[in-house]
Amino acid sequence: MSFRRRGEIVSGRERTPGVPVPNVANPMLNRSAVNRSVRGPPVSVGSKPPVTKNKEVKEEFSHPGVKPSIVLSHLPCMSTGTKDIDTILVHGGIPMDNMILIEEDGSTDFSGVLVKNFVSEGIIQNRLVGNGKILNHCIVIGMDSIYGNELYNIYAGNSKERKKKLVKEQEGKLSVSNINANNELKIAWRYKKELQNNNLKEIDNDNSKYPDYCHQFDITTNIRPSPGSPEISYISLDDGYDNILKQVNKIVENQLKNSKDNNKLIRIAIPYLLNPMIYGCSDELINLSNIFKFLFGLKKIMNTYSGRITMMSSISSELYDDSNGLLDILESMLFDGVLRLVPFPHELNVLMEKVYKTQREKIKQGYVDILRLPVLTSMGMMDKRLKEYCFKNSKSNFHVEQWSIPVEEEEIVEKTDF
Amino acid sequence: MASTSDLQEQALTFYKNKSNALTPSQNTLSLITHDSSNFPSWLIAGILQQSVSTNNECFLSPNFPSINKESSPSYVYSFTNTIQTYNKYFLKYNIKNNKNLHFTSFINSDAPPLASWYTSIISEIKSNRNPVVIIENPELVLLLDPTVTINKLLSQIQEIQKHCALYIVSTTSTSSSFTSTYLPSILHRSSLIISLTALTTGRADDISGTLTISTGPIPNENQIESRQYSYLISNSAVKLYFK
Repeated sequence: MSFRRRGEIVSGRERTPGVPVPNVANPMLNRSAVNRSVRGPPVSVGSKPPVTKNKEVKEEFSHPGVKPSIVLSHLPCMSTGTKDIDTILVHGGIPMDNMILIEEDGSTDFSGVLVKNFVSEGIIQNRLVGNGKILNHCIVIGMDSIYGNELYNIYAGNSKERKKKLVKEQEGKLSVSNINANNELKIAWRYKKELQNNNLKEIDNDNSKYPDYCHQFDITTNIRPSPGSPEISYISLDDGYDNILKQVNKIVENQLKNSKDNNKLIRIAIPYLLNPMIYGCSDELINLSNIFKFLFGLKKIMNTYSGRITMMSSISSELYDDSNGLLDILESMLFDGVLRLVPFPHELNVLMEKVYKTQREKIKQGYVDILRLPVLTSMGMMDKRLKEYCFKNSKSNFHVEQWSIPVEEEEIVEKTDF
Repeated sequence: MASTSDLQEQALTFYKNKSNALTPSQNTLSLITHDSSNFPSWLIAGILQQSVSTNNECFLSPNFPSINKESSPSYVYSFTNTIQTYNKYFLKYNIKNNKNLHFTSFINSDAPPLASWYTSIISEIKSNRNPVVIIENPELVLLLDPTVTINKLLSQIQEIQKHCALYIVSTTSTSSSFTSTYLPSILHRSSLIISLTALTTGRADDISGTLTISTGPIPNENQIESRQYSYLISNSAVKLYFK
């Protein structure tokens, strides 16, 4: 065993300031593009050292809900409100000025959960980090205030975690028994805590650097008090797309230009795009040309206030098949990122129930297909991933992981030779 | 079976004349087709690098002779992308601040109105000598403005072509009734067709897709090098291999 001299400085792992640490806790983050950037640069045709502007993002604009992209550090990103969706988008969130579309097959409403998480994240950041300041403004198109009442509240932990929290709170209070207990266990407790901290430090480096970037939501609870007009705006579809665009522009201008806080961000949500329940049968609203013009107009507004707005929308891919080409156009020309949720067929559900009879947590609900990644697909990187990821939506988490086919272990039947 | 790591990297060339491997002659139309998952921004960056350079430099064909040539004014007009898409390539290959490179995105607030998109392009390029123009996804005009027909759009493109060496970038993944005959129509007016396709077997870590160069129906004074490449795009480089 060797010892270091007292005065010698123990060097930690060297890190470039400003470069985010990949999420060690989630192995998915360490795949593809991240790996590519970490690997030694391959010998390229006429390649020159890449120019990075890491400091640009942080020095010009600081917001607790913004962090640089993991793969293109000059791009600021905003969380989708779902940690695993941030991860499979490769950047670690939605790059600013980008639009994400969540398509969903079947009659389930998982995409609705993701859009609600996106809006809830904005509101929760206002409540937890803002200190009375409004950091995010959400614009919900096609919905009314009932939607705001149903936004998810932050996950408080399971009963065990809640009990622990309560005990901690009790420990903090001044009482005779606490003082005695503290004196006796002080050293051991501190030592244990330090050990724990050291272990967690490595894993949660990214989380600790941006602690308010993304939160975990409980879909059985709602944000109370419900968000009011300073935090959220609802735009009705009644007046047609031209008026919606005018209203969006007006709200964005009010929030960003005329506001005293110059670090506000805008989240635009269009849940259930073109769903007949909301859009009805009005010719104006379901006319494809009008839809394209509307989305193009939104893109223009987002680019006018560059670096401040992101958008998420959901659509049922079952309602719009390939015959009119709507989805093709949305995927290839209007949205920057496209994910598709495909619930498992009944047979697969039955098989999973059977295989994971004793490990219920392994049962998943569907595939997450990546059809387009923001910025990276436009840069030419082929990152289409079909049936590579699966998801499970639970009370407190929308969990995405790599898909593996469940293997049915055959029951060994003892054969008896007669 | 050989993987890409065993293969030798190749230089990209559209024409047999190596002194101008990626730049077409004036008044010609070249078509670049892609699908929704493999946009050719890296290829466009390569074309732009060679056209604005004064010594034939291009990261996609590095071994070609260094020749003193005139830098061509190059214009990119995009209906779908912003400069964000190209920033990395432009910075990496030192062309971002080149005075001959002009980027216009119709998504930006300062862009000319859609109704006059082609007149604004013509007025901008008209006075230049040997300009190279790249227009990304002009078919979006058909979707955004129902009064524009395919014939009208094609005649507008033809008008632009008269003043420059024109590249049109179009997607093959729209099966919409709006654009159904657009792609075959423009294909029949092109002298060079470059098509990027995803792998038929799905995604792979060592190959991003296939690039095919073929002669279009319109004759060209430069002889076209018909060829097929496999390409790999990673975070730090673009590599091409013969297929």
